[in-house]
Amino acid sequence: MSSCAKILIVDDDKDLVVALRVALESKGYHVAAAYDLPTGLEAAAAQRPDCIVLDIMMPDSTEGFHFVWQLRQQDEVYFKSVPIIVLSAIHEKTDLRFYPDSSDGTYRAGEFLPVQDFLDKPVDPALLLERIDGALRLKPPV
Amino acid sequence: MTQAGELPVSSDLERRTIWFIKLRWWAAAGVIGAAGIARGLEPVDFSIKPILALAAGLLVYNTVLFFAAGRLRTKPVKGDWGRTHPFARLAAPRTFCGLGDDDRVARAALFAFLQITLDFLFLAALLHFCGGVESPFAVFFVFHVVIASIMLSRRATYLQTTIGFLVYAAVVLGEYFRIVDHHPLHWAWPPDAYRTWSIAATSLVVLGATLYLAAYLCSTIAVDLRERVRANVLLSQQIADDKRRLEVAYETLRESERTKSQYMRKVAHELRGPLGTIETALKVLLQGMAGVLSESSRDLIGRAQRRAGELAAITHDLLVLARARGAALDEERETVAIGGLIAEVIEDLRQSAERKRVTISADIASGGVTIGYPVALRQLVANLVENGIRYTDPGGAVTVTLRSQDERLVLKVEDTGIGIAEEDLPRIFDEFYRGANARSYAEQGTGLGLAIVKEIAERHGGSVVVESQLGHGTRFTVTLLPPGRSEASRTPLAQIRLPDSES
Repeated sequence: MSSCAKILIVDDDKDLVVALRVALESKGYHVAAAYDLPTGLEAAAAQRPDCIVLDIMMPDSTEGFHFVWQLRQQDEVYFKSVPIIVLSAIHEKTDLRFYPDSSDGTYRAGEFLPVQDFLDKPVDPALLLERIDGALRLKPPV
Repeated sequence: MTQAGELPVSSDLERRTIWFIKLRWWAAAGVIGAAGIARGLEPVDFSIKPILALAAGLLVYNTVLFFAAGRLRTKPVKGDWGRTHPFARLAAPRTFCGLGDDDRVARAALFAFLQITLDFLFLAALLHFCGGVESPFAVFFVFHVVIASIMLSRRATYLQTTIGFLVYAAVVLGEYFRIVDHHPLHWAWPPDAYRTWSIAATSLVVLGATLYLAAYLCSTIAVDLRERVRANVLLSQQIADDKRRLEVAYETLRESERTKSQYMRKVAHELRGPLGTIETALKVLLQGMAGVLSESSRDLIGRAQRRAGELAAITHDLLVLARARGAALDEERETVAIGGLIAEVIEDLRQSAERKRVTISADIASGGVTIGYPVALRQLVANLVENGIRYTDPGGAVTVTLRSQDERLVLKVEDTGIGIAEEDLPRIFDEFYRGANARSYAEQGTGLGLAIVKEIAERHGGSVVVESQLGHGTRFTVTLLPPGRSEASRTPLAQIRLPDSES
């Protein structure tokens, strides 16, 4: 089931996107890519990926957060529930906490980030594949 | 100009003036009391009314002075008056000039001069009404000479003394030449003593000599003492100046440190992005996700990945070091329970220790709490324990102890590892320095771990020392000062306080 899943990578680092694409496609995932916030939101709406891999510091510290909040704020269930895996090294700098699912649809800025998982950069591709697998098992593809 | 923390001499003089006025209350009371007592003693017989009138006048005059003095203290001196008015310059004690409050000094001196002169007049009137040349109270003129020498310049003191003497002479000679009436004391003197030229002359000469001698003695001593006060004031001004200069220098240094740390952080941050991508790409290759690799491809890519990993580790440590250096300027301190921190770090590292079959044990005395930066302290503990694990053979042990010792926290991390050579010991905390035996024993290592430990220890006002013997293990001892004192050691200048001026 997961091998037909579509993954959207949102990251401004084009070389990293290529590397991750190779890794994901080697396991049979379909990969779509976006390099900034507006394109990312468009792609998410248009392609409805089964999982989103997002660089939180893209290109500075705010775009990634905005992507998450703007995505989650949309009314459809899909947007509120699509698993997001965040890539970054921010946990050394902040005390960000995140919870698996939004319950009432409101998000407190700066405290909670409604994403499913969190990975350090530099990304270990095998680890990323594991986490995507895990996220997809909780939310099977639509 | 004088500032807080320096010692203005004018406030000294102003205090003396108030004291002087208070003395006068007692003098008035004394006059009334003495007059009352004397009136009851036989055979002294003199009219008490003029005395009482004088005393009343004294009280009134003193009240006026009291309020005038209060207002003067708060009113700033207008213009250049203290320095340009010739009489002000004459009256002000020379040693107290040029210390930054000349105007107030001059004003206080003039005020004193005025009071003393008026006092002389009162005293003369008093003497006139109780015996003139017969009066034993002529001696009181000396008091005012002494006070003048305290408050006024040498020359003004002599001037004041002369005024006093002339006033006394006016009374004696006035009565002698019958210009004014004589009010006899009816005491031990013959009734026409005041008309005897030898008595008049003697009393004038004796009192005159007494007054001038007193003026000389007291003003000499006063000048001496004032020299010392002046030296003190100049010294305190110097210290205040130096303190200000140091503060400026310190601020400049802090600013440049902050800039440097920010730069380091920016550079490290910029390096991490590309490095991370390189590592990921190489990992993707190595994990066979882009196709099967030949033996040599695998080998080369593996080497490239290892070197990229080294770079990443150095960049990470540089960031940590920069954060350690810069943070003292930005972050907030918190209460940190070091014991708990140690337990967490050991828990985090337990797996890697077990993989190497190195045992970690902790011996933590309770009460190990300090105020500091929790992330940094954790880094410090982690670096030391990681080093212990890294440089110890399988079967060895790393021990962490925490003790409270005279209010200091002492943290020891000891291992049974490869030890540090004696020639490496002095440089072991240097950036990028690794002992030769360390390099050959474990490839991994940026050489920054101990520099970070030292930086963090010192940022908390503490220190770190190392003891080691090659082949027999190493012990690191970190001492952290209690919260109050560690603050002081980092910002010494903020703690300098000069004694407040007594005003």
